[in-house]
Amino acid sequence: MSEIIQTNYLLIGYSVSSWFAAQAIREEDDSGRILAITEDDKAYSRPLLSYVLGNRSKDIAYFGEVVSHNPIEVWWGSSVINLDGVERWAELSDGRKVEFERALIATGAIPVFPPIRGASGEGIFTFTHIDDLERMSAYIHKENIENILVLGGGFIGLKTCEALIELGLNIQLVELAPRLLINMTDEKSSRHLEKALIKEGVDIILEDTVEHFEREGQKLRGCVLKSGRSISCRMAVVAIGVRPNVAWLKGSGVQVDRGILVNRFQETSCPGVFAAGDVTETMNMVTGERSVTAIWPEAVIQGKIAGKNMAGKRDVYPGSLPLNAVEVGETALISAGLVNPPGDDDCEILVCESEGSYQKLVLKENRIVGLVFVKNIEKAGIYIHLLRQRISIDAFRDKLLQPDFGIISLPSNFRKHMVEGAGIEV
Amino acid sequence: MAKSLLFPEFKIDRDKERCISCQVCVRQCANDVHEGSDNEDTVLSQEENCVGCQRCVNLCPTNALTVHKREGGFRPNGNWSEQHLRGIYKQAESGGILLTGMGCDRSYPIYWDHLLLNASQVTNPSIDPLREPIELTSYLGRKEEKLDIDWSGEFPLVQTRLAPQLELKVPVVFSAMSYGSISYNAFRSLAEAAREVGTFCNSGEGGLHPDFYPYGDNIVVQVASGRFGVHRDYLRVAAAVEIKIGQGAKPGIGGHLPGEKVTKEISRTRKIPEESDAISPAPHHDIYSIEDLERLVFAIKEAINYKKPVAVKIAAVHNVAAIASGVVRAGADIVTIDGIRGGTGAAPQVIRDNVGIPIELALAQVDERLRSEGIRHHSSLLIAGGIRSSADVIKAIALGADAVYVGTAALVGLGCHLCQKCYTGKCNWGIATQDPVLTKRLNPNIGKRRLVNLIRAWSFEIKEMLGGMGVNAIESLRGNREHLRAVGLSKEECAVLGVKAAGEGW
Amino acid sequence: MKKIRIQEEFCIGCRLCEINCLVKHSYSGKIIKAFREESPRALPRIRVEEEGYLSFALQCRHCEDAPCVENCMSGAMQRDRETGTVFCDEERCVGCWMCIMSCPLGVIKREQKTRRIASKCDLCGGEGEPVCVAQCPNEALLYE
Repeated sequence: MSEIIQTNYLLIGYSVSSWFAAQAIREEDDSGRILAITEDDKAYSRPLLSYVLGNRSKDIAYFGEVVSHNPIEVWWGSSVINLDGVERWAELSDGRKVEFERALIATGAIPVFPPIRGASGEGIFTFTHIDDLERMSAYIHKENIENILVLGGGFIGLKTCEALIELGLNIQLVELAPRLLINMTDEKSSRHLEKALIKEGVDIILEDTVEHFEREGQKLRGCVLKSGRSISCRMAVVAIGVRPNVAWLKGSGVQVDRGILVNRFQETSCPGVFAAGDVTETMNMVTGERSVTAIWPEAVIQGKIAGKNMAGKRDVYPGSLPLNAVEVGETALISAGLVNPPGDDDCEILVCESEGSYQKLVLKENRIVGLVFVKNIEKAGIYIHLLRQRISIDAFRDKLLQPDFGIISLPSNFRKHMVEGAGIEV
Repeated sequence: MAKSLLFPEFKIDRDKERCISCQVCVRQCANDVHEGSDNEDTVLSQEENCVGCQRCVNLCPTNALTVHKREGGFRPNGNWSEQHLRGIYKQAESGGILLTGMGCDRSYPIYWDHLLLNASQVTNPSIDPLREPIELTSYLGRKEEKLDIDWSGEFPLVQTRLAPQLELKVPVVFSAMSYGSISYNAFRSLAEAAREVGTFCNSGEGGLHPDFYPYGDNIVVQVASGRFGVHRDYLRVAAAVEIKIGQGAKPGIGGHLPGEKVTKEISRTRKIPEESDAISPAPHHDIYSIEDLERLVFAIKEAINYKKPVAVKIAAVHNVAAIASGVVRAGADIVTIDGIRGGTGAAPQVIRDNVGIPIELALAQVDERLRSEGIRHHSSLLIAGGIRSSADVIKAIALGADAVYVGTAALVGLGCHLCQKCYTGKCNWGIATQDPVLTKRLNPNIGKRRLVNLIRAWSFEIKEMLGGMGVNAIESLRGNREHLRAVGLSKEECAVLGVKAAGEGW
Repeated sequence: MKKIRIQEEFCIGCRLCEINCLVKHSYSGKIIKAFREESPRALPRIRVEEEGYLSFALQCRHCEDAPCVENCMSGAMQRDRETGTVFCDEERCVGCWMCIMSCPLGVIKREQKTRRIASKCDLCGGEGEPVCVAQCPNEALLYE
């Protein structure tokens, strides 16, 4: 009979959602046992991967404060292979069994790897895990890589490009869509980004994808694109997306579609079992549609809300807001919410363009529902705040996107509250 | 329009080595003197607009700016001074009266600077104000001929009904400056400082904004020829009421607050329509005699139930002593006399600089006249017009005043640099303006602190001087001209002042 | 924790706070050098906003639940436990601009140092009055 461990709180996966959940639990419950199970050997910040690769950061460790008092137990290098969400126990890879009162599933997402001929073998990488980082770094050095193919002009693809540019590699970026960051950009903002990438020496190939990889023995030699163009490279990064890591949940009783389905308390179909972060499917606060929003800020807030509810308090998740930023050379881009409203939507678009800078706001029913800013990004946070808080822009519509738009443009009571209040709770 | 013959009055030196083009000067000048250039990283200056207020110099973070009087513009001429030439050019171009602000800036003799104070030596010990109390409190109002006291009980009881008095912790009062001529924040600074140090400020003839009613115990309200904002509550909320007959800066003429300064708040305060000109006639149209004045004095006393003193303010003119005597007889509890150097928000330059007499002479004569008529105790004497320091205060009291008004000194304390452009409404220091961009520049918390400091500093100095003379109460000094001696004055001037020449003993 | 209180009714729009902030965060700390010799010029971490006659100087509010701290994926953006100041550790900042996106006041900037990093009010290191407060000619900013 294998050992049975009992815990008040079980955190499955130990990354950002779990950190913030643990913190939220500790704020309410000083003494309850919190046990975290993770495959990793150490805590690290996944979004830092590309920055470490590009030598912008020396350290992959997360430097922020995780849990300030009564630390939690973390079992490294271990994983949950079976979960019973109804009976509330989990079986670990080493055979031990954990019985829990509340559990959080925060196992994140895993890269999508398409079935392309010639894709197996060395020289082809995905880039979402600390092991990928070490393997890629080593490979670049060992093989003296100069040319590299990045398949996928989405967020991870571009972050990879950012890093590879810093390493001085020649990059060929292949994207199936007619523009980069298809969900985050529109035509114009993508062009700005493309221009910046070209300036950094990146060769961008749009509306194309890899048909098959070509090999010379084990080693990668190049690839042929759907268009017939052949490219020679000895290394490739496949970054066409991620999907929630949910395969292991089969039979657990936890309801899963693409990701884990949760209610507005971040609770799954099994009472007492919560989920947060890249593994969940949540309601988009702008469109109202269910989707996986695999970004850090959502992992933070979902983790916090899950933690609070796990500890017996009630807190409601306001819905997810896709947002992100990339920077190539001098060109920074920030995007949030609904950037490309569907044609039948009665959205209004405001645009402000000047040399090198581009700002676009998407308005619907007097509220901001999306934006994309290129270059002049510093006030994006104000607009995103208005979006999140669903503030009617009626009173200051004509000031939107003006160069001197600021907190001063907002109605004075709202403004005073933001500036003078204890926080920014509104 | 033909080319003006005037040229800039001031020269602006910008040290190119120090200027960092931060544009602070550009943003601070209400006269659009400084201008950033679009292409280059430089700042340009339009000297012809400069009024020499020194705001930019004060705020320049690198001390790159110097603004000084432009030299060599006019050929030196003992008769045709720059002031006269400028005046002629301006009038030849405009055809109008020359306007100005603040007090007379001509170099007429300043008698304070010819009066010296006494001090104790050997035979009459001086007092150290750090060790012994020195009383600075004084009371303004009618004093009784004699007091009936009932000695029959355990404690003596004063039987005489005493006239209402203003109690001053320091013999310095802020003079009449209306909300309109000065900004809300300037007025607030004065009101708060007056309350803090235990003295009074004066509403001027512009009514009292409701925000200042809570300060009523430290405010003297004015009733002037325009009667702006005068109503029952206005009279009753104040510590005293002052009927303004004349003003030292512009004796014999009225006042005019242009419509553009009559903002919503000022219209509310003065009870006149927004943006309408506020015109104070030259005379009160119901006062043509001492008897008429008496009627108004008592009408006001009736309105305030005889609970507060009523003052009458007149300008120092040639026959001031006789006029003051009439005013006292009309029932004024306080007579205010304003000398030629008294300030104003706007006055014709020719009046300001040529009409009236110095306050020192007027004060000496009024005090003398009232004493000789035996009515000095019927009224207190409050004098105004050019008090610049604690020495001026103490000399005024020795010359016969009960207390003094300070206007210009208070404004200088608030930041005024005497550019004399109050009438333009573009005061860069936020004092004499209603432009919301400019009024913000005077933070009343700072203003109050500065005024309180100023009055406190003066009172320390007054105590030192009193102590030195061996006098332990300011009221004991009043009218004691033996404590004054004159230097560099003619026999006639000494006689008018009632002061012996320096070197003469008792 | 002590915070900078904005009294917008007394802001005179001179922008001396911006200038002094820039100097404080420049390499030399000397005003003329900071403006005329240092390149790239340091950035002020305070912003004066103006509209009509209204103006005020805005800098980080050091929010209690600071979204920039939570959303910083490297942990460079952090709160000083003793002073409560939210500041950015320039060594650890990678320039992902997550903080810029999260800041509802838009008071975080991109600044070019050895690399581009997030730059924001650090309350002048928490030692005494921040320069914007100390040098405001009209006490429109208070530190209390």
